[in-house]
Amino acid sequence: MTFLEDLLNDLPELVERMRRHDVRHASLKNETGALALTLAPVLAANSGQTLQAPHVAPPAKAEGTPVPSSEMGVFRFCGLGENHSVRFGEIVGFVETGALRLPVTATADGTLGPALVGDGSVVGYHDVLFRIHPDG
Amino acid sequence: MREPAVSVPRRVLIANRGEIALRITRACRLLGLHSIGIHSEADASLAHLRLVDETLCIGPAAASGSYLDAARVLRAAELTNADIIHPGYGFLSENAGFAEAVEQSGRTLAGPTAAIMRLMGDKISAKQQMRRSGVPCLPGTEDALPTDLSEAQTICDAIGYPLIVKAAGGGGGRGMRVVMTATDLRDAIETAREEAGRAFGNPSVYAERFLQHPRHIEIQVLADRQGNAVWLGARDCSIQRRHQKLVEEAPATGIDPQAIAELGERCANACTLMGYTGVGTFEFLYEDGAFSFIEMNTRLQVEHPVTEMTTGIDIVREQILIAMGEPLSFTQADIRTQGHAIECRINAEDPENFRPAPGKVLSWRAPGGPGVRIDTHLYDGYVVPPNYDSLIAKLIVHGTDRTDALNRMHAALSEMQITGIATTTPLHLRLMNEPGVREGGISVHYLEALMRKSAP
Repeated sequence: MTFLEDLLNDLPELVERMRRHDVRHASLKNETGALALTLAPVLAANSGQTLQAPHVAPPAKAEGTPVPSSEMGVFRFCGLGENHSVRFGEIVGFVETGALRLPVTATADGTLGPALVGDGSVVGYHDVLFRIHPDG
Repeated sequence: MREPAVSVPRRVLIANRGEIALRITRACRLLGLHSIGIHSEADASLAHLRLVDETLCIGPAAASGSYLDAARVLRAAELTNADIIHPGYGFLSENAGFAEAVEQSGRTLAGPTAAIMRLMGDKISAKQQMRRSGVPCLPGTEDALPTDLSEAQTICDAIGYPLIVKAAGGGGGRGMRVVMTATDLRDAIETAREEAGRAFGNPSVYAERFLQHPRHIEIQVLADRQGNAVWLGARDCSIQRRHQKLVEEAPATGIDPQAIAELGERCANACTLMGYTGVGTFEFLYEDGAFSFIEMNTRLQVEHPVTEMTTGIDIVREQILIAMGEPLSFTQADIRTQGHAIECRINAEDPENFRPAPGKVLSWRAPGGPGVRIDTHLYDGYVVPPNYDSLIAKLIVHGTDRTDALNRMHAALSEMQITGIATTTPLHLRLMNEPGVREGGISVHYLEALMRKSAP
């Protein structure tokens, strides 16, 4: 397995650890490859901080903004639970497709609803995996 | 020690859409098999997806990123643990590269092997194989025409004019040029080569005698993995426009049944000789009492229902059983044809100029009564997407004889209602009353001549 494949396999755990330790950027490299990872800011549920959204998020609908699967593949949680506050563009899960592990990103700012599929489930192209509900 | 249980394939991935996906789903349900419906993003509301056991969206609306994307279809098969992939017709159904990839993945394609698909997909090697099997072919070149135009001219002069230059790797009228006199040959070869290279990635062309007023006659075959092959009668598909069939019927009227039987036997023998498995169709031109092989379709045909109606054999069910490794449950001696069947292809097209007419079907009322069958994925509110083939329904009737079938078809067409989009129904209604159609035995040029005559 290559350096990059190893890293991609460990990506969910890496993202979780970075969040736990409030690490926003990480860059790793060796002779065979390099990876630079930048996490979008996240509003911790009980931190009391208000962070600026990196982008202008599309308005969330009453039923919630759908978060589609980026590809057909196997869905993997990334450790974010229900009711977690997320920002537009933040990684909320992964889809494994062959050797690749592709990020699933938040499509709006708001509160993440429950995952609509279980970890390890087969998901289709653009299947809705979560809904994001507007805060407040 | 106990022998390990033989794994029986039971999970069928349906790699197609529309009416044929529904037809395959029905066969899977009849056999008690687990069916998996894959679809593009534009097709999430297809009728068969309601009936299958599992669904999976494999890609965007464009067929190139979904139904034609072999890697995606294979990945879907892996994700859903499919044992058998049924390709239907069109899309990947005659793609030897896809067939090979399916074989390499340890799965079964409901069709012949990749090697056979390649053999019959190349028109030159297919003709050579037919000659070896005693299937009649048109006088023409044994191999591809040489690139040297002077040499090609010498060969074509020997065949005689008119002749037709055809793409070795193609079909559907592309890479094809009719040459009426020797002076037109060089231009025809060059343009056919250029078109064939662009359309099929293979610029090879060959030449054969051009028949001026042929009928299109075809033989349906079924062959199992145990070396048994049968033929299921002939179909007449002469009502065509630009090589696209519009009306098909079985049996072929006005042709000596003994001549058809001899041809059918040769086709079945050809299957056994080459090791063909699955369903297939040998296509012929028929003129002045002689049949000439054009090509073999190594897949299920759109028009298979007319053969089902006259033989009583469920061809799709048999095709799946063959893919599961089952031997044919009947022999040639068991096959009987009865009555006459006609199929009209109902396309979402303007009936005058054949322009595609996608859109929302406001209401759909199916015809009924004895001998009427409709294969369609339509329902009220269904939106015909602009991304795919315009076939939306196949209306099939079965009558005691040809006149009875024509009358039943006219009645069924009159009863059928599709509102919201334009369809070819008015053209079919007209055709059922045309003297040439009523009489039978028309050539492949009939419809285009009729349309020219009635053009303003």
